[in-house]
Amino acid sequence: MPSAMFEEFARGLERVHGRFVEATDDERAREAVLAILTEAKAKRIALWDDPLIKELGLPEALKNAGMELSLPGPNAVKDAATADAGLTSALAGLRATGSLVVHAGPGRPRSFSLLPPLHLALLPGSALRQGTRDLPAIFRSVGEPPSAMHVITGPSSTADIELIKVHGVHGPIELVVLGLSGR
Amino acid sequence: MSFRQRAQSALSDSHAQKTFRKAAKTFKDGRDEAFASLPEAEDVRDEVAAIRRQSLDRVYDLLNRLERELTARGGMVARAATAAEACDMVLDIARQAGVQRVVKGKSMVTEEIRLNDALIREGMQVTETDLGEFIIQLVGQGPSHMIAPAIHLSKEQVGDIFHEHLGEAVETDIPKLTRIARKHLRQRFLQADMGITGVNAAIAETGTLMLVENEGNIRISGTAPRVHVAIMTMEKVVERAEEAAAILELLPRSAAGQVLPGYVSFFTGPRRADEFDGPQALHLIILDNGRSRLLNDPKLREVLACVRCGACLNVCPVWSKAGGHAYGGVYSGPIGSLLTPLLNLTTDGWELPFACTQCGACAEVCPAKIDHPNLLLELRRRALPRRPRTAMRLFAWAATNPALWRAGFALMRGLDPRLARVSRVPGLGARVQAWSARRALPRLERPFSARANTGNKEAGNA
Repeated sequence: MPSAMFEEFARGLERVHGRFVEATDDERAREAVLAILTEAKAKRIALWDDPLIKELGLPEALKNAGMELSLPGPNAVKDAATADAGLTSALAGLRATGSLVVHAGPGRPRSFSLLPPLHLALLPGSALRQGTRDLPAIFRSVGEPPSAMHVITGPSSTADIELIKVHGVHGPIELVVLGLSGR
Repeated sequence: MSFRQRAQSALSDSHAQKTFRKAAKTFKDGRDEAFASLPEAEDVRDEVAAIRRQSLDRVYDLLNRLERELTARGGMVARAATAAEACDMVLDIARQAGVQRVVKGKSMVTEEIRLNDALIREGMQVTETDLGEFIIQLVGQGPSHMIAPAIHLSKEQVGDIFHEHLGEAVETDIPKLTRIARKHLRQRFLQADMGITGVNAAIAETGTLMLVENEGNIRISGTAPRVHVAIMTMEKVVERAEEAAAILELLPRSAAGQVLPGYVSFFTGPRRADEFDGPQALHLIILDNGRSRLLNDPKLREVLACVRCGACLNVCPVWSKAGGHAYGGVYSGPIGSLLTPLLNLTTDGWELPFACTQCGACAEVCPAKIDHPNLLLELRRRALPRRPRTAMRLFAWAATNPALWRAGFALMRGLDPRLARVSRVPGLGARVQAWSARRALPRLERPFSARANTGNKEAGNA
């Protein structure tokens, strides 16, 4: 059960077939990341070079668990396309819809949240906002507009054949958000 | 073929009728549900209607600012007066960048300018990557619905298409069909030199392009290829991010019954020097194609407030029977009946405003509060010759003289109360029969006023 802080967010995310997991401290967050990736049988992980991911000690933890890491580099798109999972942080989350906001930048390739079959995102509780009308403030909060900002609501989906909803088209087939209530 | 003929063939296709009915109901129910989660929806409609109209009032200033801001962030902006000019611009960009393979996100404007034909003529490989568009491209068809372009095809038909064109084993399971498309398209994405997308709204103050989708194909088109070309119609610009957010409250709700779609992307220029993916070049082409002429038409410019959600299609009694293809162009339903003739998109577009029952359902759901029924009436006025036909003038004369009207009906009631003989009158009879082939002729045994007064709802007198 998610804590009160993440309750509405988790409900929104589950409504769009995303999965919510919560960790109350950094140690548990590390364990949760390993558990999620192990459960998904992910061997190659494309992960952002990002302060939060580093502070949680995730690069070492994943390496120690025998996973192969792809850090951002000139082959980012190819690396992401061959990875089993993409691990990113998030700029913000929207409670009403369980949405993530991610923005491109140095160390944060766009394709890591897009091409792997599993996208695992870390969302600090302090990054929660309410809904669509908060997007302009989130957009402005990074100063100079990023080359790309994406609002992600659930795994990729389509209903183009007979209007039957299918999850997992071109983008991730699975989306897991790890809520960090201590951050 | 005329609208009437195309509609006729859709009406006699029972599978098509079933899918149109299902599409209209699914999307309409989805919209109603999504609007229920926004208690202040009517206020937001007023807000969006105002934003769209105020943006149109200063569209040239906003476009200049958009161009300035996007150029300052490394984007390249060009304006195309016509469809042909826009296609030439894309071809020039492709030639200069040595592009061979193109992936495309779903976009109405690229359909409007027939960009695929132009690229293919130039020898390029063009792949539509929206699942529905991908399917209809394989069989060379056009979209039948603004947001569900392959809705007229069954899963069995899609399985056969994948078998025939992709060499896959025959499959009818929808998730498996979707995975097959993912596998084939993933290769195309990674090999592509250029990604082409539309634009849902452009934010002038920062030079930002907002795009909405569910599948991720638009994100990949704007991420993996080294060149991204975005094409927008000139009316899509707003000034501030807040205005785009207001539109975003209603667009996905109206289009697919979603509070937010799977992905909303805000692109501001190409990749920066310190980034490892994203396009090296971002081009924005702003298309006019008859729109500035329409902007000068005070009665009809409101058509350009449209945000392309497709909600007006789903509630339209004509669209839900005739289907999208009957309209003969890219845009169908009430908005298609306006845009197609006003932008001269087909040769017979001026017959479309007459395919409207004036029920008003479209205006009730439009997130930009476009008054389609009245605009369609205005188009009818402009399409018709100055002097109405003799028969219509006689009818108008009789209908505005109550004594004459009553006398005429009394006479007909005596001569031919069931309108059986009139169908045999040479000349006139054939017309009456054509009109009554799919309608019940009124019966005149008792005047309507008498029936209405007693509340009698006899069958056959509808």
